[in-house]
Amino acid sequence: MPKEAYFSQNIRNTFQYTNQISRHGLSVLPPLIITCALNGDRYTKEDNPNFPQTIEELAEQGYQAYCAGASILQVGSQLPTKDHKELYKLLRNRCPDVIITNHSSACRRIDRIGDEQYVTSQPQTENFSASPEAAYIDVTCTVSDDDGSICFMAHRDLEQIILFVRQAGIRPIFGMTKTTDIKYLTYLEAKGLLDTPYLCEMRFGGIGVAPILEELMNAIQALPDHGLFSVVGDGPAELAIIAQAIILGLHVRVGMGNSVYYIPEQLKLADSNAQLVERVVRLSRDLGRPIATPSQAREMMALTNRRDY
Amino acid sequence: MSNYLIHNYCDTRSYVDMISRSGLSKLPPLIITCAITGGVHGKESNPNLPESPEEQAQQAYDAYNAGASMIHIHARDPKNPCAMTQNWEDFYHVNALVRSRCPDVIINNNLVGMRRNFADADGNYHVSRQLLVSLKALPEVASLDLSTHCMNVKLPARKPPLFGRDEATARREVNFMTFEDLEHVTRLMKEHDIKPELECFGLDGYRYVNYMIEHGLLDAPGWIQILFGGSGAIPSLNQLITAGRILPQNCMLSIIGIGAAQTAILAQSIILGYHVRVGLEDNYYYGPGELAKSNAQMVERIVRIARELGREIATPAQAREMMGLGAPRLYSL
Repeated sequence: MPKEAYFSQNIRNTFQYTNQISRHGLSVLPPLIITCALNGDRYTKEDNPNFPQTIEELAEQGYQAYCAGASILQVGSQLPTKDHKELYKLLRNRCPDVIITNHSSACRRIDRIGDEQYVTSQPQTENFSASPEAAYIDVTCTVSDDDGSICFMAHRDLEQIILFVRQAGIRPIFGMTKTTDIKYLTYLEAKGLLDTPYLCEMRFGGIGVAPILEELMNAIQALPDHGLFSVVGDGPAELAIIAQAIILGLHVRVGMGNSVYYIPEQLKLADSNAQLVERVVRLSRDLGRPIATPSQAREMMALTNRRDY
Repeated sequence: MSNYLIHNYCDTRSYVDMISRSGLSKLPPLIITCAITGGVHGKESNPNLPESPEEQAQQAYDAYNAGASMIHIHARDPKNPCAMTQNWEDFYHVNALVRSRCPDVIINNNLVGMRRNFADADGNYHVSRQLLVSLKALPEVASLDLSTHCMNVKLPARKPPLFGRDEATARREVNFMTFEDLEHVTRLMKEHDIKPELECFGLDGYRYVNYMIEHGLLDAPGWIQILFGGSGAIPSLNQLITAGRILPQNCMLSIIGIGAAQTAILAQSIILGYHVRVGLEDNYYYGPGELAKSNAQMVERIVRIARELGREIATPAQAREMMGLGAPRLYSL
């Protein structure tokens, strides 16, 4: 099989997929890019004592997740920018080729501050200045289950953000929570602002898309060409949707930033980020799908020059 | 009764049995809603779009005669007819005019229920009050938008004799529905005896419907309407099928098609057993480059398609029975 086909599969080509799995099982699908979200603003040590909070803890858990098979590490938005910079240095020392990303969100927030009083924030782009290699940008509008706050991405904001990250050499990774959010990508494509190959991610379960195979297939069928599609699952449905993503040749994200549980339905807490990555690696290997090394992930994402800190 | 009123769209096996034996004839009769005006574009886009109450009543009557059992109304501001009115009396006036000509049609007003977040010229953001204008006009059914989404629509200038928007502009805003606001509006609608039309801008809207069911806020049968195209769901058959498969319990499903995708998406909906909405609010073209002549013209085409396919059209009385509505509500002129 030519190398090109190995790395850049057209996920919408069912005919090609049928041929591939009929002859080779999952072994010639693109290697699985595993992203590990080390932390996130949903959780703290109170939820799980193993949750990494200090820079040193994050660096250590990042290293373990990398050794376990993660090729992208994602740092949550709650750390101040100077801590991001410090952490990237530590991560780069220990994981020479891992892809370092953060979750900037870049959305505006609407918070209710009193009766009939609301305040709308600026786009949350503070962590761009820490120069991650790629940054998660949420292309969605949602209401939080927890505090009723709203986050939204306006089309005009998005255009400016894309122009900014292009210039800053930060690769955007698009985070979606609904199938209709795909329209942000087609909007960018029409404006000439969707650089390919792009990486996008969709959340299933929880506040995301209904965690069923049908919706996963619908999303695949509607995405613009030349994309890498990664799936993140929420709550007890997480493993089911991730396993289906592995089988379909998509990519996945796990980690304590997403869930502090190893088995959510039993409230069994995770020991570490590495434990969550290891399970995906085992699952994928058993299914016959190879795991991407960081350099393979870089090749698939056309992100070949690693950034030093 | 439940077979007739609420088809079980999760069950492909029974659908296969049904169409294998009877074609589409045993599906629930097709409820056609006609959205005659809308709150976005106006006569600048299609001079046949009704803006004044008199025009609205006439087009509602023609659409009703063509086969629409429900009329969806946005009343316009008489001083600025490119915008929706902020006075419930304007809604009530149109409702009364429509009722005087269509004795049993279901009267449906646009309620919204969301809040709007928009930037002023200086880039400062403002959040509106909860939008509830038509509540006091006592429609029998009112659309409640279960969505949080960004709108980005270009609007052309209104040249004389039209007025209200001298220059082309873009409507950019974020509309959002919080669970707190949802509980509030649901209570108000119940107090006013208005059945909510649960308008979803994609399948993510089911999150709100499920919340309503879990919190006892929804009286069966729920009437769900999903937009496809425009600010709504991606207009693909895949998505349309999923909409039925994961439909919340005890709910009926109606589909809106926006723009050029309208006829294709509605024809597929008819085949799947869903209900449909047409009208100049959703699509003011009859075909490529050909403006629609009237709302009735759009209703007539969808009636022809449904009949050709073998699906029965619901009368207003049947639609009332299916949706759990009582006798037609009266409005005094």
